[in-house]
Amino acid sequence: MSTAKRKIDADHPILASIKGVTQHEGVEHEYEQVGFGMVSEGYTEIAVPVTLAMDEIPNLVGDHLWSKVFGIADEIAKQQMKMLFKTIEEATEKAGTRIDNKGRPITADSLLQMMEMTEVEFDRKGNPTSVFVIHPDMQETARKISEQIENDPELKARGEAIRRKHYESWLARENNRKLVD
Amino acid sequence: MLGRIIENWLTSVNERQYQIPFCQLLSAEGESVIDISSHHPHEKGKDIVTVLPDQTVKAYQLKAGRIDLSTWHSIEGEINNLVELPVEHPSIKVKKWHQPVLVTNGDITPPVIDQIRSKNESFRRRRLPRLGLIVKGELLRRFETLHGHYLPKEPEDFSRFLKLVLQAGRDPLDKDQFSAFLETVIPMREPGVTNLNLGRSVASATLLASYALHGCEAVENHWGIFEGWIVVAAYCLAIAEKVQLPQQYWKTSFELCVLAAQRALQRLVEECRGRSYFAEGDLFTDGHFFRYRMTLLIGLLSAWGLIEHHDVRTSADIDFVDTFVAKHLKESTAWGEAAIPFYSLAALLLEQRAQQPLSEALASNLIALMTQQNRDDLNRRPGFPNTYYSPEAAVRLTCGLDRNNLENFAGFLYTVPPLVDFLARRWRKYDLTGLWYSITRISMQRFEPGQCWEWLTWRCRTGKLVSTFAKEPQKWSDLVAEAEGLDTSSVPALARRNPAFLAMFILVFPHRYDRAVQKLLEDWSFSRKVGNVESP
Repeated sequence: MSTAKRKIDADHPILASIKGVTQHEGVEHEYEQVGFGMVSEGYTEIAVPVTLAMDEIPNLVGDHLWSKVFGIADEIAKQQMKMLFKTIEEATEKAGTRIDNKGRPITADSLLQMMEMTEVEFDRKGNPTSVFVIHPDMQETARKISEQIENDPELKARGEAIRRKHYESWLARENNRKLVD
Repeated sequence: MLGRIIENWLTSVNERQYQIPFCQLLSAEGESVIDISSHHPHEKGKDIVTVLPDQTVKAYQLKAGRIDLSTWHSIEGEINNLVELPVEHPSIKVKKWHQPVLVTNGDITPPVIDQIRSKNESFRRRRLPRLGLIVKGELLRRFETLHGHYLPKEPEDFSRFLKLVLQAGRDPLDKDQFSAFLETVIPMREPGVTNLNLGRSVASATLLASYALHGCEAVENHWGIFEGWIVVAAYCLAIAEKVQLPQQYWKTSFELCVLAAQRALQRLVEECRGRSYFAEGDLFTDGHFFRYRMTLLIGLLSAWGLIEHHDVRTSADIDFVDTFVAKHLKESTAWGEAAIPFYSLAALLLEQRAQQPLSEALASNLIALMTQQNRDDLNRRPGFPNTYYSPEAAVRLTCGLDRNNLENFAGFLYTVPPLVDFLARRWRKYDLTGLWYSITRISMQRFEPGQCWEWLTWRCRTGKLVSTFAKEPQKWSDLVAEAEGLDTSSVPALARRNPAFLAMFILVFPHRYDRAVQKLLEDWSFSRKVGNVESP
């Protein structure tokens, strides 16, 4: 199982970056959802059917074994990714932070709008630590839009204003982490 | 098979080691145990005093092994005391003379039987009671009868029990297996069991635990013995709490378990007094464990010291424990969050010695250490092990010997909130102000059992893990008010009513250490026992 987990983390940095919590007792998890208070929920099972043919077993060592385990890992990762996006969809819908482009191509304006709606974290040097996840097919489009924003003074100024706003919000949040009278 | 196990156990224990199981036997047979001596010189020949339902008082003197003429001559004085000196106990009001009984887990040689016969004749002439005898064969039969149906039934369960019985006793107690075994004897989840049968199952479990812990007894693994008895005591309370079992069916068993655990701690204190170094096993690799061992000792001795302080006892051992904790604190290290209850008791003991600054600095340093080690940072993984990790499990993890364990602790902590409360109740605003930024970055975990009684079991089947974050910003007055007025009802009522047990319980079940437990222990440590009454 740990081998499969390592493979998943290596292939899917987005899954690797999610903090996993191991629950040693009980079957439910309750946590704080920003703006919605405490949310209590059970766990969803992820299962992958494994078939081993009798004539496959004598050679199930070394690379053959790894390839079998990696196949299982890929299947688990697929289900985890599906679950992740479903959860994100539900959460953004609930929080009102979902932007549906309704099939239209993504534009600099919609990207900036999206950036404005997210909450961004920064490291101590002031660099943003939040991550945008895009489909590999969108990579080229995203690069072009990014260049467009960089080269258009108006869009660039808007982007910088958004970043400044995020930074100030982050600073305000960080300054709130204190004991007061 | 059980007969052989009991025989093996019975013939290899000394009188001190079978004293508590014998008390359990007497209690299960209907005698009320009112006094158990700790084998001190003032016991007047009476190791155990009981009262029968018809108010007859019985006094037992326990011996181990075969009693031949030379043994008889060496114990004759004690036997005379047993028969001739009256039982003096506040709960005994009857004027009738007690029935004296000599018990041995071996046999008595014919010449000694003759001597006893003559002695009984002499007692009769002086209008003293006749000395009764219980020897190995009778003991075996009575122990075996007591178990009745309350034994591990399935082959797998019996095999688990056998493994526990056969263990060498040097290793830390396998609490997972030990608890699983107890759950096969006490019908925790079986509906419709009568109170009487539940009481029998508890008595049987207590005796079976004696056999299972014999390996630890044989090698004087006091920590293992202590843990074992606390686990049994916890299960006594769990079943009592679950079905609201009347006291008569569980209280004696519970008290015997607690007494056995306290005696194990007492022997640990004595062992520590006699040692000038605390290294164990392979000295080349002991560096991985030494500091954790010191943490364990500090916590265990603190528990013993707090109970003694609370009961207003005075002895050289108490002074030794106070000094030991203060002296060896700097040699200790936390292996994970499961070490925090050990430090919590040490902090309370230090307070008793008017060392508040050291006590509070300890709590403050622990928060700083944990929030630093478990900072929410990918590079910090796996982080500081949580309360579910024993010292051995933590060492395996940190030394890379548990490669298949991918549990991540960074970003999560269980034991910070009780320490924050501890400091808030002591108005340590300065410390908490400096720590608050780090505290807010960690997700605080706590487990809430689905049913209150499950809290007393090793692992709950139902319940939820609750994750919260500290407030940003946090008003100091609110923090203090919350810490001072904390609701402790999440702890089962029977555990709340036995705070001395609670102090020992959290060392064995560190994953049950939470804000409510910390508050209860603080309230208890500030109170004093006056006679049988608690004074605030």
